[in-house]
Amino acid sequence: MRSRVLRDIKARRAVVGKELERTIWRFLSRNTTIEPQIRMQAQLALNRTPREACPTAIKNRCILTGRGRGVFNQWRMCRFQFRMQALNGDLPGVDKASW
Amino acid sequence: MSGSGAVAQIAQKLKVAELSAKIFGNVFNPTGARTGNYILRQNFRGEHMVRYYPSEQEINLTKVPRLSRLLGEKQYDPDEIDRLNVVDKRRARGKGAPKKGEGKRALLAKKKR
Repeated sequence: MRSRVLRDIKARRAVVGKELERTIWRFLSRNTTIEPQIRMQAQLALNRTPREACPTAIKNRCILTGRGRGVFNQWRMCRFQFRMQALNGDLPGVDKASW
Repeated sequence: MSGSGAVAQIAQKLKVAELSAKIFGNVFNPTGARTGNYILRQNFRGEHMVRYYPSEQEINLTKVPRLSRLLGEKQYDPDEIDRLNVVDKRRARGKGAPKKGEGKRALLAKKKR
């Protein structure tokens, strides 16, 4: 699963690199007050940017195992790792519920 | 004549709105045309996204320091204890792993010489 994480890291770097450019293209393409030709060109430019540079292509994965599903965003780990770490006492402030 | 009067009233109101927008620095957009300004208002979140996966150093920082770890004591590991028990039992029955240089391969190599 490590390769998936590496792919995700690569995509995150691509997002940072292309963020300003993408913002400009998005603004130009969504602005209806400017000329249609410019808007069209901006939309085409947006389509030409790589898919991985799109923020929605990014997936929050487990930082310990790389699992893509069942990941707690607050702890950045999947539910199994979260449980094991919490029971081991490695997560400050996390306690097993008991009442 | 009431129709034209209403139109004139709306035109006057629009003019007032335009002037007030000009004075107070607001945007005058009576038709509600999409200007894409909401995109410019959004924050850049790429830097935050890049910092998602922590480095080895950061992982170590998040770990809770324990007295036993600081003193270098061995941690209680049930799996390792089980394994050592099994190894001891096998050794008692004469089924343990051979010592260095007494294995199958090592003996073959000795014969060849």
